[in-house]
Amino acid sequence: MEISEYVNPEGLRIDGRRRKELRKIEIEMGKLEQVDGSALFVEGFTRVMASVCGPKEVENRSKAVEDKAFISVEFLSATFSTRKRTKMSKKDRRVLEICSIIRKTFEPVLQLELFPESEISIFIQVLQADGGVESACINAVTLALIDAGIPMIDFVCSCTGTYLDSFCILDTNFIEETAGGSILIAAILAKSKKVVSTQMKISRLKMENFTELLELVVDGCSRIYDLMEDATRKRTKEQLNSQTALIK
Amino acid sequence: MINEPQRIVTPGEILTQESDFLRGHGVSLQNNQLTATISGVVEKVNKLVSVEPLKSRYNPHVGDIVIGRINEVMRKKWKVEVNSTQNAILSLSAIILPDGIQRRRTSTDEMNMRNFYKEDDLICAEVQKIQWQENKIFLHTRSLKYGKLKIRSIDYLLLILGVNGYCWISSPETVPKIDKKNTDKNNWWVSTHQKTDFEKDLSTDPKSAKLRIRKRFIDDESQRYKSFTQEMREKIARTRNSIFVLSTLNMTIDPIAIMKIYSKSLSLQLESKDMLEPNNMMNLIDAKEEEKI
Amino acid sequence: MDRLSFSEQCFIIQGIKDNIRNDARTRLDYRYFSIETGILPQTNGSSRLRLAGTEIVVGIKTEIGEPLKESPNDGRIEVSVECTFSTSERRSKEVLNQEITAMMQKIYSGGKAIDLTNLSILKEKKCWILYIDVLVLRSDGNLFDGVSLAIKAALFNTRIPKVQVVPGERSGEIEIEVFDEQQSEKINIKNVPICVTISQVSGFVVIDTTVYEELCIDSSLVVAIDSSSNLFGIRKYGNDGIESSSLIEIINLASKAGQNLHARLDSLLQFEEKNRIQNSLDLDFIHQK
Repeated sequence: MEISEYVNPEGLRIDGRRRKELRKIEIEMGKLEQVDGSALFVEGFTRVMASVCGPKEVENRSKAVEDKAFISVEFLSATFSTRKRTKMSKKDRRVLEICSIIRKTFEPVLQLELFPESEISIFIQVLQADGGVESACINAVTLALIDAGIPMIDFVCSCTGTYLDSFCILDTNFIEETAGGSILIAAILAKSKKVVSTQMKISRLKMENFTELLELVVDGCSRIYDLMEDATRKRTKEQLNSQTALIK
Repeated sequence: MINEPQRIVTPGEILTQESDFLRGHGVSLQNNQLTATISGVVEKVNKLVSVEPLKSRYNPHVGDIVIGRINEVMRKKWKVEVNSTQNAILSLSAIILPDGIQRRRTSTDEMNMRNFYKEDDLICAEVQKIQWQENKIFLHTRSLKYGKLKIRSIDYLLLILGVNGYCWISSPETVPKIDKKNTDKNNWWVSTHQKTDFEKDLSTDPKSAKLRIRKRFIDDESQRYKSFTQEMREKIARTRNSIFVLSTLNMTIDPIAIMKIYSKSLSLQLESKDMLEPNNMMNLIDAKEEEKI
Repeated sequence: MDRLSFSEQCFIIQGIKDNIRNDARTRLDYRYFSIETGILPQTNGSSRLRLAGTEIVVGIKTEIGEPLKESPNDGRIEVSVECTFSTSERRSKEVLNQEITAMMQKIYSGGKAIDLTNLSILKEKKCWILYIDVLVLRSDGNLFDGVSLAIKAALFNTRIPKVQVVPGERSGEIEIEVFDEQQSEKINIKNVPICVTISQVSGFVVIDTTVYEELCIDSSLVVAIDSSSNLFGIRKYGNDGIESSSLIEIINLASKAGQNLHARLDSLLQFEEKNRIQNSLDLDFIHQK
């Protein structure tokens, strides 16, 4: 599809948003049975489901780490998730990449020393992909881990931005992401705003533009944090209410 | 009773500015401030601050009565799955031998471990000790109340609510031993691992615990298996569904709540199998607003 | 991860014999299930089924492609099933995926479930390929039934875009013009079958087995049947044999159960259709704050 401009003179993007506007986010936690924690993270049309089992006894004893828990990640992108149906095999580079990113992002954040010789299994399924998929995965995993009650030092919130057409744009959809601009995916620790993970696809970006993009994305992460924190709090409140409810 | 509203915190939230608190569960020191690491309710006892999660795996305490499934038979010990962060260990020296005598374990015993407990068996045991650093839990079944959970021919019902979230059916003697506080926090785990397909025996007879003694180590248990009457099965199924209703709705599971749901279902003339339909579930707990299940 | 002690197995088997199962159902009772359609706006049709602890998501996408040589005037249907968890120890994930995929592929793409000629665009040259992709997120037993119910619901939700074949720029070439969504068409699901799994336990037959009950069964028969009791496929699983007289009985049973299931599903789908709020197609990108 030929697009002449990604941001029109009125400042509107192809889906009607402004440059710094996030898509609508919906969060559902704890709806999956038989797992320790689960979360559904929906951002616009992007829909990712994450579930967590653990900490539990390691299945494969050779993988057990003596002084802390070890994280295993499984990622699946549904064939119907993309506009054009694509089958991604387990050995696909992209799959391995995302698994590795998730592991590296959460290893320093979770208090793994509390669970020596245990395993925490993370499962991610992308049900629908419309840009910002890696970010949605990170956010969904954060929420699923919280739902499972696994201690972590802070929320990890992620957002994607791109420098396209001389504009910095936040929360890219699929079209904006594949338009050839420079893409920055960042994840931060919510309270300290420390960046814990970044991925970049840069095509000749000037330093000042990069700085602007980084600031924009970090700000986006903060705003997403507010929504995630709110959803977590609501869910905890709900659980507290049910547990202390008296049956008449 | 705590009258002040309970404070809910989320990971990364600063708990208190005061520096002289001790760190309990769910709290860590970040930048010299006590911060929460999980989402839950703040508990302050004297100078100890901790955050209690509303949902997590079983957190063991010495003296807890748990129900577990034998996962592995190893040399001189069994590994027992108890819904915790590690499988618990039941060592050969921690069980009662069939002859009841206290003696040293012999090599014959070691070879016959499967005669005591084999893989997939269910047992009821007590937490003997915990090694926190290595994340290990040790169990024992050194009491006549504990041991393998098998079907007995019964005329009464008995219910065991394992503190770790698995249910069998326990005698009323063991129930008071479960700390009421623990019950509030721990029993709802049945909702995350609904292993309530265990048989249930609900008893009000304190002597019932003693009746479960006979140690039988014979493989062919089918010989001893006597069938339940239709009536008994109905009761069992209804109890099981009552527990399910509580667990699906994330409510505390204790004997009183179970009985309330049980009798409500009878008074509403609900068939046991219909108890699990969302509308009926709502009626059973008398919910006023529409809740999404 | 699902295991049972001997006692538990005895209890379940005896319960089946006594016609009061662990959750108080009789041998022929089905559990409660709920269905949602249209949950994935980027697909042509989608559904999400919840049957006790089972959760299944189906996405259907249409693509223009070439018909098979053997059936040049028909469209194509391709089914693929993926279980994201290994749902039992007995059958590994891959084997389970294969078995369910094979069954579903057979019953839905045979040409009688859905009229494949309707999917043809230009005879011998172009046709619609309907890709039915199933994702099993969690299983609580009775997967064949669950998957087929979810597939039927997704088909109900599917819209095939209207197309027109026009001559291309150069002679002999053709182009296919795809009209926009408002003009897409529904699929006729009158003859779409669903699976009913009938399991045998100690000589008794049971329907809608839970994960634990499945560890106690001797054998099972999966019967694909439509709402008019026409058979679309039969597959046997398990080690024990089934006598031919029992076989007929079982199929009759499946037919009755199938009727009920179809009726239940259809009424749920109609109900949802009526109450559908037009929001899955709205582009609502307004920031929440």
